[in-house]
Amino acid sequence: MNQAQFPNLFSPLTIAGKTIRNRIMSTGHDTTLPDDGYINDAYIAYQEARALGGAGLIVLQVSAVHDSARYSSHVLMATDDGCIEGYRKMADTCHQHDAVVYAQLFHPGREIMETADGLAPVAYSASAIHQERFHVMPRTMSVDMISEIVAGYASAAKRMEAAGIDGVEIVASHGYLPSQFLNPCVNKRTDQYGGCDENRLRFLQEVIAEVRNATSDHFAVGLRISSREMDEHGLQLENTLAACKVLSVDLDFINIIAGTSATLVGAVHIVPPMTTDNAYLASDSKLYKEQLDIPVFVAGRINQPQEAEQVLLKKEADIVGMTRALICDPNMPEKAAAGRFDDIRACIGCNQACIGHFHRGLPISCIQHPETGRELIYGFGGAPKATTLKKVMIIGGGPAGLKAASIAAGAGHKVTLYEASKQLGGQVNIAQKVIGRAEFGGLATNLTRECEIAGVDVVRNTKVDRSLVEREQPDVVIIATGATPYIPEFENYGEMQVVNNWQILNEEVVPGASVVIADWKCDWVGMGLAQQLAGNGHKVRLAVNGVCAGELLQSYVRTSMIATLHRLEVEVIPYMRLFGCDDDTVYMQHTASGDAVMLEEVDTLVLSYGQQPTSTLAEEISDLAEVHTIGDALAARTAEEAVYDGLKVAWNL
Amino acid sequence: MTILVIAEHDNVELKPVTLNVIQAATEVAKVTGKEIEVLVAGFDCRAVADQAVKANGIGKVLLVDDEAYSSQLAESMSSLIIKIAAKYSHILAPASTSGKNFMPRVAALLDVAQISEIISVESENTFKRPIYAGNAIATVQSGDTKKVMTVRGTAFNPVDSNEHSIVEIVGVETPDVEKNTGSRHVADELVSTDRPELTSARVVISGGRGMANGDNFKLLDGIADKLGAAVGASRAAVDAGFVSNDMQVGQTGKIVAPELYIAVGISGAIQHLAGMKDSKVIVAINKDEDAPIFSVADYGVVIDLFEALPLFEQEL
Amino acid sequence: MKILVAVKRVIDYNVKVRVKADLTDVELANTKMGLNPFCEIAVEEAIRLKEKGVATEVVVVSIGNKASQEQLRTALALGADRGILIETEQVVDSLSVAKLLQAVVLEEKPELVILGKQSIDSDNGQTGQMLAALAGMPQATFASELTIADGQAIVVREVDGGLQTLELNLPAVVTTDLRLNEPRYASLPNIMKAKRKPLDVKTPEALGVDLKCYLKVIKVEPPTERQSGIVVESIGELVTKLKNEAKVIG
Repeated sequence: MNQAQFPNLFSPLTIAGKTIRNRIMSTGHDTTLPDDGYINDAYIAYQEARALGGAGLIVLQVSAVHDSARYSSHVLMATDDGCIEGYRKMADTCHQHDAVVYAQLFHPGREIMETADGLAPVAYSASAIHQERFHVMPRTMSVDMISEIVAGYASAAKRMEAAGIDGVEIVASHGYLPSQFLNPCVNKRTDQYGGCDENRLRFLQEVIAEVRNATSDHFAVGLRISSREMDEHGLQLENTLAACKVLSVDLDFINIIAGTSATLVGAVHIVPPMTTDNAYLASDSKLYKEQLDIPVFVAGRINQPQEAEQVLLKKEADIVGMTRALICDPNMPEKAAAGRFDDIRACIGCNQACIGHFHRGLPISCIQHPETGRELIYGFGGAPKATTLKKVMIIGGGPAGLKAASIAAGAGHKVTLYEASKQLGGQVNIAQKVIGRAEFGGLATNLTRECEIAGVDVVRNTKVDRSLVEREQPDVVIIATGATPYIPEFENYGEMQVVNNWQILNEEVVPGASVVIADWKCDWVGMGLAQQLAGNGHKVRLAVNGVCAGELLQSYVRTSMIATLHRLEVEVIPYMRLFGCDDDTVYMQHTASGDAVMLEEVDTLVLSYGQQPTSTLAEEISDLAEVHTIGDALAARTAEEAVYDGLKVAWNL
Repeated sequence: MTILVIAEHDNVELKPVTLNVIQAATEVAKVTGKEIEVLVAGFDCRAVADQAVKANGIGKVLLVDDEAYSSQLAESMSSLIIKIAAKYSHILAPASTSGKNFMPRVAALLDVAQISEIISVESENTFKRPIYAGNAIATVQSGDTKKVMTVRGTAFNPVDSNEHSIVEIVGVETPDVEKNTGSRHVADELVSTDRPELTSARVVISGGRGMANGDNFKLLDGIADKLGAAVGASRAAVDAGFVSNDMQVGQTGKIVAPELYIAVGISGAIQHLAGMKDSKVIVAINKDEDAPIFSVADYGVVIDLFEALPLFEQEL
Repeated sequence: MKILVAVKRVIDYNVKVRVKADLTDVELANTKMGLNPFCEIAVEEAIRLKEKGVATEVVVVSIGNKASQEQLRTALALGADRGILIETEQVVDSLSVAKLLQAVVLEEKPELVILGKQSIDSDNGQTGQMLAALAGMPQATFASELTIADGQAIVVREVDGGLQTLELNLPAVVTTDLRLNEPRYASLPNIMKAKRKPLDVKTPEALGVDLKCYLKVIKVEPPTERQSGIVVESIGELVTKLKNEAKVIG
């Protein structure tokens, strides 16, 4: 490997006798792949892809240490010996590809988001203090229960070591149980576990001591903690640093992250969206590194090897968590080592299919790389070579067409991609104009590069019609011509300026001073337009069809956008259905009560109603070739479905 | 100056509410020292005047007996009253559908305010009256020389009516009263029942779920007969199918405010209380001493209703 | 036939009123306001008469501050043809309201005036009767049925103990009771159309009416809570108490 570009990133590090080949870590993250509490083949294949791609350290998703720790219906359970076999297979697989693998020892305390049967959970915490995000009121743990849970950590660790796992990370981050004991806003106990800093630290000290007792010296024991929980009721930097100074004497590493599960604003930092600065926690980990004598890990929007190298170079951390970078491109370490920077499919921080899928109870994936989470189907290395080579015409250079082209060409087919405009990317080129979503443009850059690598012929400025298909005589035509804004029917009695979202994004129109956005779609476009227009001095009312703005968005993305809209004094009106407008009033219907709602003194009505396919080409050429329609040309959805459509169709040619 | 009370009647019978209005007038008289006169205007209504003269505290009964007033239409009544209004400082009528019908006309024609449905007399010109459906009580002061007002009967005790206080009946001739040509009475369709109507009854006795079945409501009938009461029911009894829903007292049924309300086997759900809490005296008969009805009852008896009802009827 | 309907802006009937701490009024600030329910019935009745071809035009009038335009717009959305707001910031007595309405009657010359029997705020129940007196029109209050035939209004009225039917010459004043009809909801298309219907704003001065205060509100207080009474031992004792203490039975 050519590692000259990244001397720090590719220098090994030994922890508890195990050498980690480079400083790239996939942090513990839920995948929703295991479905019965045990590690399964799908999850092993998922992590194998990362190990194979060159990750140095893989931390597995959380493993519950006690029966009261089931925080979702997909959590791994390390509460009986039946789990050992799964961990052993996982350890063997990672080791086979030279990756070191740790497990996370986990108890959520009051942070229980769902139960398998949908009933409200009985949650336990240091004290009975409510949490805001899942609206859970916990019971106070008895001292007996605390002892039982401490023992649970130890026996889980013992099972991990027996399975061949290289170490464990005790999860004290994100407001989970150990943090609940540490936090004076949550721990109101008056016994030996509360009342003063020393007592609040006791739970973690007991956990660490018992885990140490249960495991050997060659087994790494570390702690993951939020350096700050990013909420006024959460732990602050000085609390966590002081605690870690005491705890670090018995630890092999500290892994720094931020945020808390307990509140909306704190949870944004669990998986910070694209509006967050890259490597934003490196300054915190630097402080830790300066004051502690053990290795310090850090994560948080580090999605390129260049950024990771800088963190290491500046001695801000010893290991860098690049979780989403690896979800998006499992081969990122290998490509970085080989100096193939342009080939790296960089994460854009959209959160849509990684944490977004988790919140919807779905297996992890990536909108740019739908093979992620589907390794058992799509393997680790692109489409297998086709036995019958076909001539493939792909019409439309948006996400669907680009993905289809790269996969088909990768399989050996002769692929030509036709784009009507001069620029590849399709709707990505518009979507990236939404304020705060510029990084989304990376989707087009990455997919375009994949086409180049695969050897796709690209023809621009060419609108395909029947005569062109007749001349070219392809075996297969894949139509990926996208969609155009959908304009709903509504009563229009007057002279109000009515525009659609694309017209604003493309700066084709100048909206008036007072704007109402009728946002049926409830995605980032309506919210982004509201932010943009309010930021430009317009009075903005965002009338959303759903129960809240950004109803369809991943919750961390939504929270951070709602915070911005609030600061800009955008008025968000939920439950709104557009009925009509006249010269200066927009008429809405409240979808719960059916009542009329009049929004008066309006200059401009902006329609944010998503898109609709308009092409009729598929019918026109159905006699000329095998025709497939994919992406928004099939049905207007998101980039995720478009890219996945492209993968599926091209894979099966 | 004198006080005038307009008698409520049907040409045959003086309605008892008139005695409550005379009490209100008496309270005005107490602070002003004025005399009270009662106007009986109707047709063939001498008998009414004969009953009116027995009311305590009045000085005179005026009788206007003319076909023009047979139905006491608002147009005729108001024309008559303004003709004789000159000598009166206060003109009072019950806040019945009849009084409410003509009194505002009287006030408008006299160019004074009409004070609706007073519940207390604070002074010669200051009165209390409910607003917002009784959710607030306003104290109002009239700046007019004549006070034209309607009176909520249940807010005043009736004056005694007896043989010893017979006063003079003065026939009043009113040849120059403007004739009503604009409206004509066509028909009355009065609910003819032996019992008074729920909403206007002086006494109401209601049964609840504790009555156990519809037949047992007969146990209330005997008492109702003796008291001249209307019979009502709680929603629970209606929902259980014991009785029809036109008997339901409560938020979703009829709102009653009788002088005496007797709740039998009714627990006292909020929605029932909303329909009867303005009753003057509330009696609760229930075997459950914790029933919420006891918290609003003036008199409660903790007793099995099947034991209580025969006793009650007997005692009456 | 032209029908004039008077409507009033009042605290929404779903809102539980609270008396202000200084006992001057009920709390009106930030309280949801709406069209007085009896006025809604009046508007509905007028519209039905228009739909039946009996009426040719329905004019709604309201007296109040600028915000009362909302209630006129509601009435227009329900189907009235045009609105008149007599704009004033003052609290107007029933008699002054009647005088203002009479001035409108003189201008508009309606053949029928329909009003709610009372507004659910002041509960006076007198404006319609006063207007009838001032305008020299016959009246039928508490209507539960209204028919126009042969230049007359046949009105069934809800009176104590039953129903009474009257026949009125037109022009006449009718006030509505609860059972007269079930008002419709304003549909969105009609709400949109309502904005384009004419709405004139006039002043009491222009109508030559002096807004005299006939009745001063000195104090507004919450009703007294009912005190719980006594538990008696027997039915016999109960009857004795009812006779001698409460004096409610003979």
